This record gives sequence, C-alpha cells and structure tokens, in this order.
Amino acid sequence: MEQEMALIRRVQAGDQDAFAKLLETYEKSVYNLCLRMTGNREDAADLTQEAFLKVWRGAAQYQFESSFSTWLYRLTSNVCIDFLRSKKRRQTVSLTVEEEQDGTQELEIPDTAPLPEEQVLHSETKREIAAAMEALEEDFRLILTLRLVENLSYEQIADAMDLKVGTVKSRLARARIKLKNILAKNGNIFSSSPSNLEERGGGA
Amino acid sequence: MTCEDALVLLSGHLDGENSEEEEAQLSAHLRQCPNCRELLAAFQAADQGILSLEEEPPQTLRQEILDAAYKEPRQKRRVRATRWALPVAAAAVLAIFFGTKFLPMPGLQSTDTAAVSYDAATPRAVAEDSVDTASTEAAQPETSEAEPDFAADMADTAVPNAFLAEAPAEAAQSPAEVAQALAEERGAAVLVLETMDDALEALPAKAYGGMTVITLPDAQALSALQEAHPEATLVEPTGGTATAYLALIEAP
Repeated sequence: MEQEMALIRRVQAGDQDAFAKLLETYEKSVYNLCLRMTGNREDAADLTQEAFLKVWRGAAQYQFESSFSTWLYRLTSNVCIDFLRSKKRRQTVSLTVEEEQDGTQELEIPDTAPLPEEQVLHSETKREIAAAMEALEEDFRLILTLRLVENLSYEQIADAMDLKVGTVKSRLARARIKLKNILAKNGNIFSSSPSNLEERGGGA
Repeated sequence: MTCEDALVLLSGHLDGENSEEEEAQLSAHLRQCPNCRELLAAFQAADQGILSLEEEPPQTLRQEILDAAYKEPRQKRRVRATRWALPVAAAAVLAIFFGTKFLPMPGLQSTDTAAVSYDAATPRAVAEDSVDTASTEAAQPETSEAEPDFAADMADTAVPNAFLAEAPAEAAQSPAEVAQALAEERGAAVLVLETMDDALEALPAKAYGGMTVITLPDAQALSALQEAHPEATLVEPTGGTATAYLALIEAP
C-alpha cells in the first residue's frame, strides 16, 4: 500500500515510468470492468484508455482519502455509466431511491433450477452469460462486476458506488436473482426445463 | 427463516460477507430447504460463469494508452487559460508587440492537442492521429515548472483584454474551453462533468451554449463533488485562488 502511494505521488509529479507501472497493475481489471459494462471489446478498449488518460491528467486530484483502487474503480464506473447513458442503450431505472426509501423491498423468488450436469463452461454458455449480463440493468451489472470480477468487498463497493453496505448486500442479492431469471428464461444450461418464468411476487 | 430472507444470505454467503450468526441461520434453513439449496447452486454456477468471461486486454492496448498519455502536455494543477484561448494568429501579434521574449511558444502550437487532451470522449483513433509539437514538454518528470510561465508574463505586462477577447472563438466550444473561460471570467474553480449529478438538481443552474453551469455554494461542495467524480476535470483560474465554485455539465 505504501509502495503504491509512492508510485502515485510519482505519477502526480508526471513520472511516465510510474504511470506505466500503474497501468500494468490495473489495466486488466479496468478493461474487464469496461468489458462487462459495454459488452464489447472495442468499446471496452476505448473506455479503458479514457479511464487511464483521466488518471494521467487528473492524478493530482486524487487526495489519498480513499484507497487508490477505489478511486480508480469509481472513476472507471463513472466513465462506463456516462458512456452508456450517452449512448442511450437502456432506460436506467434508478434503484437507489427504491431501495433506500422502502426497506421492505420484496425479493422475487425465482424458479429453482435443477443442478447443471456439467460445470464445464462451453463457449455457448459463456455467450449466454455475457448476453444475460448485458440484459441486466446497468446498476446490477456494475455491482456484480465489481464484486466478482474486480473482487471488491462490500465495504469497497459501498465506497466506490457511494452506497451503504446494507444496500450493497441487498442489491447484489437482487442482481443475482435477476441474472438467474434472465438465464432461466433463455432455457440454457442453467435450467434444463423450459421455464415459465414470470417472476413471482411476494415471499414464501 | 423464510426463503425470501434466505436469499440475501445466500448472496452474502457466496461473497463471504455473512456474520457468524447469519451463516448459522442460513445453514439451518438450507438443511431443510431443497429449493434454496438448488438456488445456491444456480447462483454459484452463474458467478462462475461471470468469472469465466474475464479476458486479457488486447495486446496493443497498453502501448496505445501510453502513447496517448505521453502525447499530452502534462497537465499541471493550474491550467493556463491562455494556452487554449490564444490561437497562433493572436499569439503572433503579441509576439511582434512584445518582441522575441515569447518566441517560440510550444504551448501555443498545440491547440489541436489541447482540444484532444481535454475532450474526455475522444476515441482512440482520434488520439492517434493528432500531432503534438509540444510532446517534448510532456517528457519532463520534474515537479518544478519547466515551461516558460507565459501566463505570469502576460499578467505582468498587463496585456489589454482586447487582445485576448479578439481571439476568434471556435465554432463549437469544447467543455474545456468553456470551463477555462468561466474560470478566468469569474475567478472560479470549475469541475467539468459529462452527465448531471442528481445532488445538483436543487442548485441554481444556467444554460451556457448547450451545456449547463451550476453555482456551487462553497469549496466544500466542490470537493465533495470531486470525490464522487474522480473522472471529472478540474479547471482552476490562473490568477489566484478561486472565489467562486462551479460545475459545468456537458448537457443542456
């Protein structure tokens, strides 16, 4: 951590080698965040470049108040969200208001899927998962990616997305449910029977 | 425990974020609920599926990013408004007026690059095409100012505003240019955001050439906004410390 702080100070001073080292450390995870958010490699590469250029230009604005990785993921998340909004690809439903105003958010209980016979993931399965991720609302997509791909803790996600930890926890559960429903709807390896998948309201 | 309550704990379990008590409650529920056991397996499979999508970035990306970064003049904390505002023609007039003191001025030749480096939405292809005659400036790793302090010189010699005002404005002003203009005209620190932040909805806003300028109450508000938007560019007035605080949104 201290080594990283020294590295960042050098980047703030305009040290190109230090920037290259930072890029080496974080390029893959930033790229994969952008890849999951945009769903395609071209855009992911463009946004990765945009994020790192903002780091290079704006490094002086990093005040060491949060960890660098949190600052970087927040910056990258915003770059992705801005990109998606301006492309107007999806109507984004703002989840925060719903979740925080109404503590009794109901979680739909999805159809249960039989266990898949093989856990081996073929390319069609990967395509299905990728498509399902793209069909998710951006906020769900983002939080699942930060949790699984960037391997952030709830605390770190709360910091990066400016949410309460409780909201992170419930939003992740809802994201997983929604993802499972999308996968089951498409009748794939995750559910061997054609499912009538309308989300049931209410709990058991 | 209902299955609905168990759902959040299933998710928390997969993330290793349940408390001991929650884990105990979950185990107890799972022991007698085959539906939730299957759900757990489905969640696990989907998690693994997402992880399997992880890729290496394209091999050329690393160098492309480095090349693009090093082409830019290294942005100092304070942005010199005059670097952007004066096209070469006006600079030539001033050079004649004040003699050779101001020649050559690498910063003044880089208006193209300036536009590229401040346009956050520039795709990779454009960045590669731009030519930057000031690239040698960017290669300075020193903390001290290596470039001639043009702005300070300008202030000392009290150049009439007419010279600066006559610099023909670009047909469509980029957010960076607008931000610089605001910083200089109002002695304001300006944070440039690509999209609206909900927190700003209640504040006084004015339309400004296809964009929106929002007046922030104080420096703390600006800092808080900056914390929430590390990707945003901050433009500070060259003259001294800011006495006003603005947010510039790149949307009407």
